[in-house]
Amino acid sequence: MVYFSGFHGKLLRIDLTNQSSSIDKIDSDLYEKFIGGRGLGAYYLTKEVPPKTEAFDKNNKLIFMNGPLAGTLIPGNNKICVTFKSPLTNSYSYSLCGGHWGPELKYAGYDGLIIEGKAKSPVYLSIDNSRVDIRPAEKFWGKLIPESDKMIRNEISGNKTIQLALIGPAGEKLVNYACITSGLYREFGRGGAGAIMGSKNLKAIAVSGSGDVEVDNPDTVIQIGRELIQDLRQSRGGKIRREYGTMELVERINNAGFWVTRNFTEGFFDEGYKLEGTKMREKIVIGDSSCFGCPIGCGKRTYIKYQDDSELLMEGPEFETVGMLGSNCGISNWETLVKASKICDSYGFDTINAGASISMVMEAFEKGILDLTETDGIEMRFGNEEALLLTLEMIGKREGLGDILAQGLLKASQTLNVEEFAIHSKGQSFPVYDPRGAKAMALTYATSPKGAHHMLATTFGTELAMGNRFEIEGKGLLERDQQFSMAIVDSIAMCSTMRAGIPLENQAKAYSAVTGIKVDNSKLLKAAERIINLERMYNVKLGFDRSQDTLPNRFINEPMPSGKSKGQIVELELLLDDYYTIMGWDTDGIPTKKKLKELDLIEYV
Amino acid sequence: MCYIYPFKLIFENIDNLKGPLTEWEMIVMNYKELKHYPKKCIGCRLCEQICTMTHFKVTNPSKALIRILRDDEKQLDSAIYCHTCQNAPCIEACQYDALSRNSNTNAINVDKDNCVACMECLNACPYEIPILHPSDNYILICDLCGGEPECVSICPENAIMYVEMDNSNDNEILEEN
Repeated sequence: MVYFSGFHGKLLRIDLTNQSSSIDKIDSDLYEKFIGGRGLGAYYLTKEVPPKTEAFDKNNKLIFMNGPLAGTLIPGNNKICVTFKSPLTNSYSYSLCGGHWGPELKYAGYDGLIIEGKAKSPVYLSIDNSRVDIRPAEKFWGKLIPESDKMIRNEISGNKTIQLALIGPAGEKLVNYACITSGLYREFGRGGAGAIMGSKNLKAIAVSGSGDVEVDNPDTVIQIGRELIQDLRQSRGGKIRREYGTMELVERINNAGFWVTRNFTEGFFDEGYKLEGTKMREKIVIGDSSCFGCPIGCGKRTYIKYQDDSELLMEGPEFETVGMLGSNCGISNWETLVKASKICDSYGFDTINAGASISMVMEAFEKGILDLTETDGIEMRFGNEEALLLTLEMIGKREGLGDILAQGLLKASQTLNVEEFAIHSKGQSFPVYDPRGAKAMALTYATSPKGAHHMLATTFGTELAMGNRFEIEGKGLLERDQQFSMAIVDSIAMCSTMRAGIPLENQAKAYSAVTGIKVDNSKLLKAAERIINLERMYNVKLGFDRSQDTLPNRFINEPMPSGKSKGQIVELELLLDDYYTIMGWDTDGIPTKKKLKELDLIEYV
Repeated sequence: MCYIYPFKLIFENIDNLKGPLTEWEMIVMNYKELKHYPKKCIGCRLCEQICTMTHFKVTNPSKALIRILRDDEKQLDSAIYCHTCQNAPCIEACQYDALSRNSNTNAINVDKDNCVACMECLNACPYEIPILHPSDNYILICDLCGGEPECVSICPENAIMYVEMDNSNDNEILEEN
């Protein structure tokens, strides 16, 4: 069996039920077929977790997979993917996390880590190269993330390079959109991976690695690495991202009239100018922060001193958070948004789903469908900053209204009988981009295996640049190409932001220099298509078809009322027809035998 | 009259380098040293990676001769690296003739054949800089890449610089940090 550079060829398997660990070899041809990261996650979930497995069943698994570029000098090489059956969408799900944890796992000698079974009582996992310990974690259980992070670091004393991935109270209490957090401010954010970890009684995974990551051609990797760093720093997109982080998007998206506003009742937030990247930099940013190997540093270090003399020093908030907790709830006050972000980060849950749950209640409350008796006496009106902070705390603690909202939009809206205001697809809340203002985004949201998630294909940038964002012609093709592009970066371990300065040709060049596997664009694109089809087939086995590729009624039947996307609706069925045809799927959205055969997938599905 | 405060910005307790320069220190003024500015640092750790790529042809932060430590609570990334101290307590402490001063760069040379990894240099070092090679039995100390430090060349933020030892910007740097 031939192994390639950039890979170790092994994964660590932890069985929490039997408190044991073992090492599996990864067949080398899997790397060629599925690349790594998200692709290998699709392979292992399909192989090991039957689709009908209940999310909180001990037979569900958390499959963490690194990519070949992880921990190498190729910039932005820090994303690790976790794949699992989601409690939020009851479907296939994956989530990527930046920071420093994934590369550390690679230095510890593992391409991947599979967590299976369920511990009898709270434990945490300590991986120090080949030494693996499962230790009691009762004393950390119930503690907020910053506190647990500190306590666990103290317990594993004497090791300065430890990286931690952990859950907070939200994960422990099975909030359906709980995150796994790393380095306090980086998350496996969407789909509820943190709740799976909580259901397994696993508080944290500490990793410390001191092994080599070898590359096929060190001199070429150094040369390519240096060139790509320059390319990124000099690219227009890279420069803007460096200065303003993801908040640079506020101005573009809000002014184009498709920024989530008051639960998607509008696409332009009149106070949005206060939340632009330039304003954030001016008011609260004190420095910049990078993930491992990234020369951009889109993370923004922020500091606020409040009137009562309390202070907050943290990283973030990010664009999605500011959109979902800000404009989406009618709030434009940085002091509140930083606090709100800190609450989510401390309890450990997804700001996007939390924001969408709260705005759902706010809209229903304002329309008189919910009253104070159903909102624990809180005036749930758009713009009520106190209500936002209170409700977020209640979600983290699973108290009262928060306990209902912790179930996720689908179940919470049924419980409260406000389904028409729940803006989700497959149970996953929409992030900030209103698809009425960039039509291919409708395909991203509707066809994503993990429900409405923007990072499946961020088409809006191209649509804005091309000036065709309201058109539907050509959007199936754009959607496919962007999905392929994301599947590649998600699988090689590169952050999507790197695409600003590293086009596919250079990704392929870097991949070849690291692994020694000669690839061109077409080989990577083929692998991307294989991954997307494999993910799709997992849901097909759950009975999913076209009827699950939906959008909320709002986007299909309610024209955008104001702003630069005024009058637009989403022509979803036409878009789906186009996309399915281009993907080689039948009219029900199911991959054809012919397509699966063409992709060498028959044996895997 | 000029003074050297090369380490004060991170390590506050080192005041014993204040005072008029000795003859030895005057000679040293021609050398350069590494200087890290935590407030400029974004914590990307490209310095660690280029360091191990150029020295060992692999990436492995535990072999890196400059290491970045992130303090999430303080939102600060600080660096651990050899400050090429003039009195070089590491050389003093070595009983095996493994450490010496590189006259071209002022860096500490490690003779890995002589080194027995007794760790006395680490004990003597005020900054706990020397690291044990993770798989071989000898100590690793920054060699300043022979006078052209790779970490400096790759840093996208100029957070690690190679500067004259009598850097007149010291005061400015102290203020900045």
